[in-house]
Amino acid sequence: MEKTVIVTIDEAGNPTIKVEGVKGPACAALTADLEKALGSVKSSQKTAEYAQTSATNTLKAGVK
Amino acid sequence: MSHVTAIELEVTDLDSIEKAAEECGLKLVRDQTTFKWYGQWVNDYNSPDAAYKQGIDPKDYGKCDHALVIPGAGTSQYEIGLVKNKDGPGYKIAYDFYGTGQNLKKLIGEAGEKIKQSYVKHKTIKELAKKGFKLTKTENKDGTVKLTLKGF
Repeated sequence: MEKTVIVTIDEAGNPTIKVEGVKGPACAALTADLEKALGSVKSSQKTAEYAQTSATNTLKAGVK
Repeated sequence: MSHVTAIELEVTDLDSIEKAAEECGLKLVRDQTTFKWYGQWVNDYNSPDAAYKQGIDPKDYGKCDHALVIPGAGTSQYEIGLVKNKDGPGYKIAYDFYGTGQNLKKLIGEAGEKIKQSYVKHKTIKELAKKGFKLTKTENKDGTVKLTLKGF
């Protein structure tokens, strides 16, 4: 799947980062690096791929 | 009036602020160590965004590390200072929004939001380019900028 990053910057200049097609930790790392570079980031969205890290993670999420 | 404000934006990349400045009609002058303002602190601006409340001592008003200027403006035109943060990386954006500072305010936005949005845009494109992402779409809608970048 194609890797896509969508960054939406609102009128006040606050960015929201959305990553698609990058699984689990790699997605989190990509988002974290960008957040750090931009200084202040309002929020970031986790997409479906994030849950695809491993069965263990999915299970933990299910227990909660 | 000495109404010096500091904008809530941590500028860590001069190339990106240079591009953002151009989009706003300003020019980055690297290593310009003073910026034009009222010239004298008379303790008449004390809002939360006042520069001294953002860590810039009033005795240092007018001092900066780099400046943003209106190209071709007259000598009475105030300027914007990029002031190095004392407690971390990057620069703060400080300027006197009174008098001819009103012209600067129009260019960068009431609270600096126009230059902030543009800076974040250019910084995003630059950072993601390092990771192999290429900008494929830019959409402007209702004042919001949406960037789509793809990595292959």
